[in-house]
Formats: sequence, structure tokens, C-alpha cells
Amino acid sequence: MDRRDLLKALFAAGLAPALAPFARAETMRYEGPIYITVFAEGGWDVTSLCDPKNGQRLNPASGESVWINHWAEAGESIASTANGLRYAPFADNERLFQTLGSKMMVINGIDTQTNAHNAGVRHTFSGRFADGYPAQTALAAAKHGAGLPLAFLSNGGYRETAGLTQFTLMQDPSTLNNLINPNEPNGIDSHYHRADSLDLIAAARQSRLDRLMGQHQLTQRLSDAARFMDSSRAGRDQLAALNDFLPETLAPATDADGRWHPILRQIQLALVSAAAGLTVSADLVQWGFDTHANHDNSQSIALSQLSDGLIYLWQEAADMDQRFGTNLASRLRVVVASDFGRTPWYNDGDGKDHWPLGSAILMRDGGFAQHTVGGTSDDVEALSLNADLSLNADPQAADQSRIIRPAHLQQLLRYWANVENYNSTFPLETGSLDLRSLLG
Amino acid sequence: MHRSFIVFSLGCISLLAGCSQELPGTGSPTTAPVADVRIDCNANDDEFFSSKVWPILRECSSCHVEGGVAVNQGARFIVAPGNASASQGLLRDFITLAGDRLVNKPTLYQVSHGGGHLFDTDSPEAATLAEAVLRYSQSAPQCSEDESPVAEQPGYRDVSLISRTRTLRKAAIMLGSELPDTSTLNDVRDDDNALREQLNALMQGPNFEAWLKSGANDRLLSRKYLDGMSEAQETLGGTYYEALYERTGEAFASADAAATACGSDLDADTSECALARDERQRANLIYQETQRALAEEPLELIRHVVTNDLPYREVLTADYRMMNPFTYEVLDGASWQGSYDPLDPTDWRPGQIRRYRVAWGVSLQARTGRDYLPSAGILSSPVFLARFPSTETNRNRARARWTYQFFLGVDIERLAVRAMDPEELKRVTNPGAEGSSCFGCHSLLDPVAATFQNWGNDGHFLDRQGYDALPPSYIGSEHYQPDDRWYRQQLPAGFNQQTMPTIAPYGPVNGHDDGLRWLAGQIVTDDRFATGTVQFWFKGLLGREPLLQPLEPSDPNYSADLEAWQAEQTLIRELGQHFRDNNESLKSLLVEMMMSPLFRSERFDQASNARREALRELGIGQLLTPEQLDRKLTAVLGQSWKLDWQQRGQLLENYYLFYGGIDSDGITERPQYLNSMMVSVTERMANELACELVFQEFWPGMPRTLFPMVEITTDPTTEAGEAAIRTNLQHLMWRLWGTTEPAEVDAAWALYKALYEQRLSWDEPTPYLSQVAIWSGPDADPNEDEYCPVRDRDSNDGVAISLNWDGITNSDWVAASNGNPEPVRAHLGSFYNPEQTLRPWVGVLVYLLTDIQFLTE
Repeated sequence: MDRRDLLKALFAAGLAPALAPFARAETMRYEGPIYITVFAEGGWDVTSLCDPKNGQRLNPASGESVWINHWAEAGESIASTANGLRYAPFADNERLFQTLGSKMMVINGIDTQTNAHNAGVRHTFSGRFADGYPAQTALAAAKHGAGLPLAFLSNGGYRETAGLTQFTLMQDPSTLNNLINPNEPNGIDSHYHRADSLDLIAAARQSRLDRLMGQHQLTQRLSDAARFMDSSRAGRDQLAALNDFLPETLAPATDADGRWHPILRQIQLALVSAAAGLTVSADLVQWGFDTHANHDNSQSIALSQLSDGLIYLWQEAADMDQRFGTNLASRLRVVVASDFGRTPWYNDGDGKDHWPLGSAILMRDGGFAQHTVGGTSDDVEALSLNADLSLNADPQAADQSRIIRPAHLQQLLRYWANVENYNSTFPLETGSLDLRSLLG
Repeated sequence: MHRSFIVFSLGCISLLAGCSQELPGTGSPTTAPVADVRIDCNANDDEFFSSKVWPILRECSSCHVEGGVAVNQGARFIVAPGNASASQGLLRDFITLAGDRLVNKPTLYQVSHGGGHLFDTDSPEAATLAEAVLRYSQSAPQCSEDESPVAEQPGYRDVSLISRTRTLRKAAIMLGSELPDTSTLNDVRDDDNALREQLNALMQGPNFEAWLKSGANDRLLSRKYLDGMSEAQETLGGTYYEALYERTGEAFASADAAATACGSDLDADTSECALARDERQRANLIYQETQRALAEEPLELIRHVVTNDLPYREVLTADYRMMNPFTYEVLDGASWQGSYDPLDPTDWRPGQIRRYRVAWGVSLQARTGRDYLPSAGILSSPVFLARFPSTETNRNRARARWTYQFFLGVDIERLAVRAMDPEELKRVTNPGAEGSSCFGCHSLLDPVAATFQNWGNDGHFLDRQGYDALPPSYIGSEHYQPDDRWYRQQLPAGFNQQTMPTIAPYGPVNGHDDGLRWLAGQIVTDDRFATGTVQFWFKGLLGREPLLQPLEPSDPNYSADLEAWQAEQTLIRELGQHFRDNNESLKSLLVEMMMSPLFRSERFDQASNARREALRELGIGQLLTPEQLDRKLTAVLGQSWKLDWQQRGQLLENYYLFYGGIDSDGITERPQYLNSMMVSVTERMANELACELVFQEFWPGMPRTLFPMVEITTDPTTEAGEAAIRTNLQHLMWRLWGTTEPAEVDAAWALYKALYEQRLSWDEPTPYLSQVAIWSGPDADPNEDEYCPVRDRDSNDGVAISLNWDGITNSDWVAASNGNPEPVRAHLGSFYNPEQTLRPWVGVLVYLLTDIQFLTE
């Protein structure tokens, strides 16, 4: 059988038209901004981070005036970076802010309006309390990553996709090699199938998926499963690009004290995938912020690990740029946020409970024109923004409609990620406050 | 015909005797006896057997009976003289064991037969026996596509369901069972009650138990202490569980002593070092199995309740704890009657935690007078309490929250999904006090939290020296009063507006062994326990959560979502009522869930996009978890995907997290859809399995699971060959996909033919199943490689698989060059395939194994 006959046979079998998508998929490579959300899981204490408080306030439980933070009680002072970012003298903050402060914009005083974890996470990362809205990272992957095999990496946190895309959990790179080249046997320089046989199988698969997706009476579940398989398979061949960037050594999974510290490895794999042009967005998670007891010690560990991760993120991106000639650092768009904040007082167990006001930190190479937006009162209560987005420092005069809420954060992030085309499907209630001009 | 029977009867002296595995001689017929066989769908199995098979087989009863000549010579086929029904059962057993040898023997097709040639491969007798093989093979294809019933439940009447036979098949796969055989499928084809009976019958055995525990863990996540970053022993700690490390410590001390006796080289070939290695292995086993037993204790309780058909309420009311020898010896040591193997991790029995102390040097008995800890099923499980810990300010609210969620189906956090009053958020420090909007939820939550009062933040019973489980800061406060067990400022312990009886206000529970026992008694009589149980098992059985109540009327899909949610809630209530009406049998509940549209929905007759979107997680298309896919491989292929040295399949090892596994710690959610990494896993799986399966199945003497209707010589260019291949494709698709739609059979046939013709188009395609350039000399082209793992996967199956290159003579090669491959094949078996018929099967198998309907159910 010559090639002509073969194609005729393919055509007769309904296989030939499906060959085109594979050719299309092979040419894709994402070179745009990389959107990274770092989730500080459990509710971080921003009064010991980027919204530092060194005073006292009323503890409503005891009715007494108490120190908001022990470090302030010990007489330590709030520090600041050259560009005016204020930070608490706590954990590894100095290294974090002095290293990365120039890349940051801190948004303080975000009122999540809840102190329940699930509601706080959902609200912060989707912009509303009700279910169903996708995360910004999912939207970015859906819009910019069609056809990419690893468009949206997720290690946990809020990863609702609303059916627009699917997430991937990246794990052990030693096994990753087997997945990059599934046609190659382990330990033998060979392959399972000849290329032209694989072509026939691939064409038959595609034809089959097309038939399945064309059966509109089937359950949505099977249709969606077929659709996601279709898009995943179309981009699968591009996984080979990972080979060029796989690290020789893995980032450690424990910190210097032997504690579990997985965020470095999450970052490393996300950057590898981004360098290969396969990833648009990634969710990273730093666990350990829900510090109802022994707050200073536990929160300090979590914050230090978070700082460690953020510094590693930028350093590793720069190193890879140098090694591989990639352009990662200038493409990173990072946001760090949490469920909410923590009470501006300690409980009986020296812990801190949930507090609705929190912060977010945005980072990009070159930084922002404005380094701090919003804020809270000395008592850590909500403050509103003026028309020019400056802070109205009088809590008594706070305009409720101009207090920063998660919807405003998400509006900003959607704008940043150029995914505002989804706003009509997933509208945000932002009222008159609009932070988008902060991005310049 | 008559003459045939005479010959046949004489041949019965040695018919089917022994297990001859010799490769076919040159005189073997070349046409397979099963080449063009179809099931006569006008006759059921009984009719077919009595009218067609029995007249043939009863002639055999002089030899193939217990004590008969053939049986004495080793024949495994036995007839029950004069008893057609029993003989039919025996025939089924034989076909399960030996497949098409039933027909190959008397036709002398590729095997020898002491009774000689009885009838030709194209004779009516051969056709009858071949049809018997087809009918009685496990999961043979169906006569026709069964009708898809329309759902009868309100809210689902626009939905068509998969047929009863397909429902049974799907259930078998989801629960890890073997595929149902044809007879069983025929039994359920038109009968819902028969289907219920068969669904219930699936729920037994180790695979079902593994499914049960896996499904429970998806909720309870207790395997965090097995698979996550925290080890169970370390989490529970030796302070309270005084003997926790006793057995492990002794084992490692013994291993260390043995290692010292051995010297520096533990691998040395001395008796001391052999002992040292054994001791080390034993110590590791004790440590690991103790960890597993602790982590799986609540899951084992569920298994115990379900598999013993106890009322499901016992998962909360059990006044015992499940232990195996690894935990029994360190936690109990006094309850069990009778002997046990101290190293048997499968010997689970009820026990009590007796070896517990409330502080260093203070035994439970000395301080409390108790011999053992109180038990309230899962609620008092040490790993459950540790997995959902508390703090001084949380005050067991998280435990109460999960208790509501797991056992009552109530998500407290969703009772008020809205912005909260900002002033209250800042001002209210006791949300359980009346006067704030917090009270709405906390009035439900806090009393339940208080029933956990005897269990400390880390889950230890009366962890303050045996007096109570209150923190020192509270003991030193003005609120504390002697003998209190709970915070005075909090709502007292209770549930559903019932206050827990106590000896004194905020004091110990009165009339019950523990607050949790009182709580368990309250929960299991609450209506929501039944609906909560239905919802608990959604994830394990249906791969999803129940639909969430839509909350935003402005959402474009709100109306359709609301309608879907309401219908599902109605169904959940009905299922809950069934559960109550059937003595809280979880098996019975699971059967009804599998009968329902939740499990069986396949098509919408007429549905708007909004309706389809609202039901986007309904019915078929459920992505199999790595655990389920691993078991499905075994069920449909007859083997798992694993390396020789692995205890478990690769889907549960190397690729577990890549393919959607959870570690019950940081990774607790499974993906709903495939991503590119998962697609890659499936492609590697198919590539590694397909050729090996083809090689093994076509090896002479090997039972045929996947390819019972074709032979290595089945010629796709002939009408009979195409028919056989199509029939086999139908068989494969039923096994792997559960559907046998003609259009899909056509497509698979087209692929087979295209692959076959492609091979013929190549210059000198390899006659071997595997070709690797680096092993074939410098002229070999790597681009023409087709690697195939060639090995004898099971050396104990009675069929030795090995390539005997040295046995091939020049004349064998000459014969091959003259168009007769059999002499060479006598030494190489299915590895030698100059006909090029097998590699297309490899391709088809890859196609089927990587299809979405193989990966979903």
C-alpha cells in the first residue's frame, strides 16, 4: 500500500480529517505573562507583615487595652524599605522586603467580610461569596493557554475553573520523564510503536473523540470529559519541551530545621513548565497560617517559609533566565493573599483568631508606581479610599462603598491578566471603587 | 452427524485430557474453529445448552466423569451424567479455566488430543462448542444493545439511563469486582430486582473492601497519617498511648542486636547476618503496619460494619475500636479471645484502648477508675480527632463542623454564605452568645462542639492529668469551677435543642459513658443521619459532591441549577428513607444509588444547554480514580499495570499523584477531568501493556480473555476473518468500554485494517512482535523499532512462555520462507507473526485503552 492508498483508507475510515489539530498543537508555545497566585493558607497576620501595627487596642473579650503584637510590646519598631514600604520586624520580613520590596505593591485593608475559612477563601480568590466563579489563574489559563498541556498548574487553594479549563498537579520530575515520552520504554533506547503506526492510532483516537463530542445527547459529564481529553491530548506532545529545562537537582522539601517546606519545589516545577512555554498560570500554597494557639512561633514559621519561597521564586527565575536565555523574571505577575487576617489581639492560648481585614501583595519586575494602597486604622479597622485612591485615614468617616473588598482585588487581577472578557459571565460587584489605574 | 457422534464417543477416552501445551504440529488445521461464530440471541443459555450442547457432551460421560478414564488422566473437563443443569455449570467452569480449548481439542486445532480428531473446525459441532465458549466466557458481548430505560424519578424524566446489563458492568468496575459473566448479565437484562440482587452480590471481597475504605478516606482523610507528612505514631504520641512504641522499640532493638552480631557487612552470607536481615525486615514491618493500622482504624470500622451487614449507625455508636495485631498489642492486650498471628495485618477485630495513661506515671484506671477509653465509633477515633484538631479558642468547633458535614450532610459554613456585619466581626468574641448574627450558626455548632469536651485539642482523652481536657489558661480563669468539663461562657453541650444530661452544669455527662456517646445516639436518630449518609457516599460512588444550592438568582443558569438541586435533594431524601427502611444497610443504600439516575444517566432526550449544564456531573463520564482504574485493568485485562518488583500497580505508585491521587494531607481533592499529564500516564500505560497482552494471549495454551474469537492466523482479508475480528472487537469494546455501538465497531475495524495494510506496505516488515535496532546489528534502522515486552508474567500459571531460538532448524526457516510459519512458531509462539496480524491488535488495544470511555464510567 502506498501513501496515497493509505490516505484513502484513512479517509474511508473517517480518520483523515483529524490530522490537522495535531499539527496545530505542535507549534504552540506561550511567551506571555505568567500569573502566579501564592495562597497563604489559614489566614495570615498582616499586622506582623505588610500592614504593621505597633500599638495597643481594646481586646473586646477582656475589655482591656492590649498589645496587638508581642514584638511591639518588646519595643521593636516598624521598618521600611527605600521605596517606603512598611513592614513588621517579625519572622524573615526584613529579608523579604529588602530583597523584593522594589517589585511590590501592597494592598492593605481588604475587607473579606467574613471570618469563616471557606467563605474567606472563596471570596478573596473569586470575588464573591457564592460558589462557581473561577480563580483569576483559571481565567488566565482559559484565555491564554488554549492548547497548552500545563496551562494551569495548581498545588491547592482556590482552584475553581468553572469548566473553562483543567488544572494539573506537577509532581516528582523523575517520573515526569516517563510522561514526556510515553512511546519510549524505560531503560531501552527504542520505542513501542513506529511513528506512522502511531499516526494511525492518533488519527483514529481523534476521529473517535470527534464522534463522541458530536453526540449532543450524551451527558454533559462525558462530553466534558471528552472535551478535556481532546485539549489535553492535543497539547501533550509539547511536554517534550520540559526536557530542556528539567533541573538536575530538586529544590529541598524541608527547611533548615527539617520542617516540611514544599513551596520551593512547587515553584521550581512551575518555573520549569513556564520556561518550556507550557504554562500560563500557577497556584502555589504555603500552609500553616491558621495560628489559633502559640501564634508568634507558628505564624513566624509560616511567614518565614513564605518569604523563603517568594525570594526563591524571583531568584530561580533570574537564574533560569541566565542559564537558558528565557525571559521568566520579566514575565512574572505574582499575587500573594490569604483567607483573611488575624485578630489584633492574642487569645488566652497566645494565639490569634480570625479577623476579616487582610492584605494582598502584588509583585512584578520593575515594581509599581504606587507601592502601598489602602490601609487599616491603628485598631486594624477598615478605612476607605478617596477618589484618587489615597487613604481616608479617618475610620469614622469611612465610606463603605469605597472600602477595598475582594471584588475590587479580583477586578484588578482580571485586568492585570487581560481576562476582562469574562466579566460579563462572572460579573463582579465593585460599585464606584476601581483599582485598575494602579497598574498604570 | 450420527457418525460424528460415534467417533466423538470413542474419542472421549482421552478427550480434553491433561494440559497439553505443545505448539501445533504441521498437520494442524489452519482455520480457527471460532472464526465466524455468533451467539444465537433467540435462545437463552439454558435453551442453547439443552438443545445443542448437551446432545454433544452427554456422549462424553463414559470418560469425562469423576473416576472416568479421561479424568484419571488429568482432564479438567467433567460431565455430570444425566444431569444437564450440573453439566452446564461444569462447562462454564471449564470455559472460565481453559476457554477455547473446549473446541480446539476435539478439532486438533493447535493442540494435541489423545482421542484424536473428532470433527472438523468448520463442522456444526465445532460451531456449537465455539458458541458455548463465546456465551460462557466472562463478559461476552451482548446479543444486542439493550434498551435504555427512561428515568422514573421526578426531575429526571428527560434522562435516559444505561441498560441494566451496563449498569451491572459499570458497578462491577467501580466497586473493583470481576466483570459479570453472560449468564449473570442475561439474568438482569429485563429485571430490576435481579439487577438489585446482583449489585448487592458485588459488595463482598477484598476489592470491595478496598473501595469502601478508599471512599471513606476521601471524606475522613485519616490516611494522612499513612501517606502524608505526619506519621500516625508521632501524631498520637507515647505520652498518652503508653505502649505505642513498645513493640516497635523491641523489634528495632532486636534488629540492632542482630546487626551487631552480624558485623559491618549486613549482606554477608552468614547465619548471623541472615538473622539480622530478617530482624530488620520484621522491625520495619511492625513499624509500617502499626502506622497503617492506626491510620486506617476509622476506615476499618466502616468496613467492619458494612461487611458484617450491621446497621450503619454503628459507625458512630460502636462501643469498641477496630484493631489488628499490630495495634491490639500496643493499645489493648486483654480483649481478644483466642489466638492470633501477631504479624497478620488482615486480622481485624474489635478491641478497646486500655493501655492509656492520662499523664506520665498516671494510668487511666488510677485516675478515672476506667479500664479503657470510651468509644463512640468514628467520633472518638484517635486519628479522626487528630485529623480535625482543636485549639483553645476553636474549642472543638472544627470537629463539630465536620461531624455535621460527614454524618448529617450539613455544611455549617454554607448556612450563611453572605457578608457578615463588620461591626460584629470586630466586636463579638463569643459567637455562641445570643445577641449577634453569629449565633444563628453557632447555636447549632457550639453545643455539638461541647460534646467533645473530654477530648483535648490533639485528641487525647482527659489530657489534663485525667481531670478534664480544658486548657490551663481556662483553669486559671475566674470562670472555671471545680469539676467543670466545659467552658462556662460557652453554650452547654447538646444537639438539636436537646441538652446533654450532666451531673452538674458544665460538669461530666450523666448517664452516658462519654459526651460523644450521647451525641452519637442523638445523631443516628436524627432524620438527617440518613440523608447525610447518602451524601457521605456521593464522592466515593459518584465521584462528586452533591449539588450545591444555587444562591445567586442573578446567575444566568440559576433556574436550571435550582431545578436540578431540588430534584437531587428529593432523590437524596428518598434514598435516605430507603436506608432507614432497610435497617440502615449501607449495601442496600449503595444498590439504590446505583439504580438511580445519579449513577446511570446516559442521555438527555431533549435538553437545553442550561439543563445540561445544571446536570453536568450526572451519570456516565465519571473519571476513574487511580485506585479504580488500577482495579479496572485487572478486571478487564486480567492483569494490573505493574513492574515485577512492585506490590501495587504503577497507578498506585509512580503515577499516583500525577493521575489524581490524594495524600489526604495537602492534596485532598481529586481532579474531575483529564489533563495532559494524566493523558500521558494513560498513553504510557497502554504502550507498556498492549503488546505484552497480545503476546501472552496468543501464546499457545494461554487462556484467552481479550481475544477469544480470533487466532494468529485469522486473515483480515477474508470475509470470515473480518467477521471474526469484528466479533472480537465487539467483545473487547464491551469489556473495556461497556458499549458495542456498530459505528464504533466499524471504526475499530477500520483502524485494525489500516494498521494491517500499513504493515504490508512497508518494505520487509518484521515478522517478530518486537524489533529493537540496538539489538539487531548495525544495519538496523531505529525508526523501524517496535518494542514489545516479552516475558512470562506468571510463571505459575502452568504455561511456560519462552522463546526457543536454538530449537529452530534450517528446515523450519525454509518452511517459513515457503509460506509455512508453523515450524518456526512451534519454537517462538506468538512472537513470530509473519502474517502481521498481531501488531494491529496492539494498536487497537492502545486505541481502546486510551479512550475516554475506558478511563471513565
